[in-house]
Amino acid sequence: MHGLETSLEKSIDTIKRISGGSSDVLINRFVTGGISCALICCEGMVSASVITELIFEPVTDIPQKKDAPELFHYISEELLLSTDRPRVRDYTALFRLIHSGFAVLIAEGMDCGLGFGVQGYASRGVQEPSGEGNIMGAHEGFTETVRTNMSQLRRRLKSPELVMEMMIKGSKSNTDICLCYMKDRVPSELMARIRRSLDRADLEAVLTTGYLRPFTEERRYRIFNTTGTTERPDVLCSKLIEGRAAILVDGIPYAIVIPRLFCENFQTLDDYAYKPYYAVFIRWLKYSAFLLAVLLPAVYTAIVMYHPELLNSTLLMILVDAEKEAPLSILTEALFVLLMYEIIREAGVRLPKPTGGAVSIISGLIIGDAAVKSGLVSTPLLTVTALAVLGGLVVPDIAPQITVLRFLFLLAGGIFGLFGISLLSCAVLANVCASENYGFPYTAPFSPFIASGMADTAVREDIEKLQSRGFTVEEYHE
Amino acid sequence: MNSITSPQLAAMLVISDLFALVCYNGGLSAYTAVGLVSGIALQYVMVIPLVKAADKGKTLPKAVKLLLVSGLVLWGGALLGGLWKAADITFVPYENAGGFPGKLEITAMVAAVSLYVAYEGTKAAARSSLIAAFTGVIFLLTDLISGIRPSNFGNIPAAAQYGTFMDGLRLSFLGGGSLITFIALLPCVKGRKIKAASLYFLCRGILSAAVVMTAVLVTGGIMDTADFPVIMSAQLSQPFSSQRIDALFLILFAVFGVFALTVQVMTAAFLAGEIFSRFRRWRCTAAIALTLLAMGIFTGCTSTGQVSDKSYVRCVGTDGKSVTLSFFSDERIITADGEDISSALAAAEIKAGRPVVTGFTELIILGNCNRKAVLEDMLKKWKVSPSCMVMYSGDPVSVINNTDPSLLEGSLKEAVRQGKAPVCDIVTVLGNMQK
Repeated sequence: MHGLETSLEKSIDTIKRISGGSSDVLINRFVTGGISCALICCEGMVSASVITELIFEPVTDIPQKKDAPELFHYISEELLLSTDRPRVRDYTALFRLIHSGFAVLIAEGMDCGLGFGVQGYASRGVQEPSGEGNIMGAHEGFTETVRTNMSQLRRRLKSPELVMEMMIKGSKSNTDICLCYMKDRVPSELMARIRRSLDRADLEAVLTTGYLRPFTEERRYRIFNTTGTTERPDVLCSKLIEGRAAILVDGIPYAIVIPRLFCENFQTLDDYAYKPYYAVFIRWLKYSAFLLAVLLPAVYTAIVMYHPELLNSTLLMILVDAEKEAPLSILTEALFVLLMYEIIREAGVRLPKPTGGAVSIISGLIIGDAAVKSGLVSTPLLTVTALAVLGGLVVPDIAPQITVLRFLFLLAGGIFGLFGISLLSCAVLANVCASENYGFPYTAPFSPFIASGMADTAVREDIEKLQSRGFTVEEYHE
Repeated sequence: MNSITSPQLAAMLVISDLFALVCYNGGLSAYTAVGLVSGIALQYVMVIPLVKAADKGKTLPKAVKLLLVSGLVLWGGALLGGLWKAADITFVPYENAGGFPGKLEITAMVAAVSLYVAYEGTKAAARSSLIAAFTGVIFLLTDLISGIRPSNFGNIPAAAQYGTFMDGLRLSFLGGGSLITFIALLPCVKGRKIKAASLYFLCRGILSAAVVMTAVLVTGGIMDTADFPVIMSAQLSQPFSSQRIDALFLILFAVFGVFALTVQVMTAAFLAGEIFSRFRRWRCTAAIALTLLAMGIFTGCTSTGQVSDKSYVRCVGTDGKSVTLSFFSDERIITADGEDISSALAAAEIKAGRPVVTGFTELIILGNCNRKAVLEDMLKKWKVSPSCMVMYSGDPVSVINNTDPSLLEGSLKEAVRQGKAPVCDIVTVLGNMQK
């Protein structure tokens, strides 16, 4: 787009033409210092009180000036109307600024404009994160405003090493994104590769983290994401200190963390608030819960269908009695129960909250109770399925993967028994082990085995030892 | 090829060696164990010059690479052959894995998964092998600990005739084709190669010795019966008296089978890729073909399903031709005839109107018959628990018809506890028969 014209009328005409007469683009004409001016802003993006008190009142008191450049020099260098006063030289920049909550002053005889940061759009305040529960840590989460999120990081890491690079992505959305990293912790080569990946992202809009993540992950099909997300500034700070990079996106209360390792799905900030022995207990509980969530229905089905000798005779007879009434095969029963759960879960997530409650009642009381009483589903199978589902909720970060793997393993176990489960385990293991992000193996430090990495994965060492180690994720780079 | 670490190399190779040992179908003795460990030590000494050369950055000539590819293909074939032979005895899946279609299905599926893992690349295979080996060692330890209960030091001299020192030495070389893989992968190892060599041969020596000695201690008394002594020892190493957990061994068998094959395929593909530049495309095609093969022979692999649609044998009486069965969940007592106990059992299933599961049998009453053959069949084909008790009666049918089986079992256990009857579990009885 071409640059601003020196004629105020022509500039205003161009602005009207480009905006298509959009009614939220406000053009306030006035004369100050003897020169015709116009203040362009976008309705709803600026604060009316701020613009009146900090822009209009001082600007209208300006004494007579010789020409427009002198007027702009006076406003920019002497009045200091706002801390952020970018010069605008073309219409692209002008529209990007007014759509970001700036007011832009243009004047007769000037081929540039002067922007003032007077953002005043409605936004959600800092609230407790909804998805990453925490007992002992901070209760603040990211919001949709990228600058608020940047300030939350800066409040926690008051170090000049923390670098936040702003850039714009999306040819239509012009979304602000912020690349954050600790410049003393992240190798410059890694940052260069991340920037190259982001440069490749030729998008029209960036509306969720999922728009950018594929560009920062390897392209081959992988089960698990090799980048992570967090909605907690404290968690992100800990990741940055460990030498990871992060991307904040305006309009999204989540940060993308690069790289993500498998073991991180089992770590929470609370682990570091408790005594190490309890943290280790909780961590292993999560590892077990993950295995239960993925394998329990499959192993149960495989054992009952193909390997009943693994059960003792008393337990077997209980299962025989329970299954006598069920009209469907165990595999079909298990698939039915798991599908029912997924449907109910999806309904609960998407429906409005008052209706969501009703869904819980219908599913828990009516469907669950009725299915067992009618003999459609046996009680042991329902117990096994419920345990598996509960196990999946313990590791919410990988819940989608757990869901799909649970179904795949169930089919493998139901069709081929433990043999099928073993083979599928090998394939999944190979897929997980093949996952990498910028040379960081997803399965580190388990494989490749790095003994020092066990201090915060297999166990959780004392904070003093962990901090004194000066760990960075670079130790895992291959 | 991407670099791999010493533990990853050791894991990949040890998995192959252990899998070869699992599929070994000859006699084993303490002498074999000594021969095997000596052979491994000898191989270590033999490879040191090669390791030193690799440390200096020397590469293999093309002709040697071609030889190694041939060796890898043969070794891979041997492993696949072992898998083929052992597939029956590991009964995968439980009910319908027997026979040619079942074996083909198992072998093809393992091959397909192996090719997928190989396709994911060296790093992925190396990393996943390390995790698989770690899991495998936990399983082996469980097996070894479980093996303490049925172990008998008297089995060491009993098994002495089944294997010599030279057998062990031969086993270490012929059954240890991983030496070829070791030579082929050595240039890809990060850091000092001698460290990688030492770690591999140490792990191989310790684990091989532990596995062979457990097999000798557990199955030495019935080595004559054991076609696959390592598998048999895993099947008899039960930590609980009332159930068999050897199906868990199946997991180890399948996982080790996949990775053993993967390592050969991947290494051969790597070397062949250096010699023939278009090998990558062939490999993918082979993977697809094998996967289709596995899908094509899908028949016969689905279960009859319901756990409640089967009858579970509690007590069996037999004279070698007919069987009389009493069940856990069924009041009926069924008698059926046949040419041998397998056909008699099939006839009993027709009479019962449902499949009969023999894995829970607690008591066998033998009549006048070839008792050793009958008990061997019951242990190997019927998969009865090693704690299953055996007694003799001139008329097993009337004993079962007139006595409550639980009372009979209780009386027998009490008599054994008081020393008034000899230890009569099936493994001990078979062992005594072989003496």
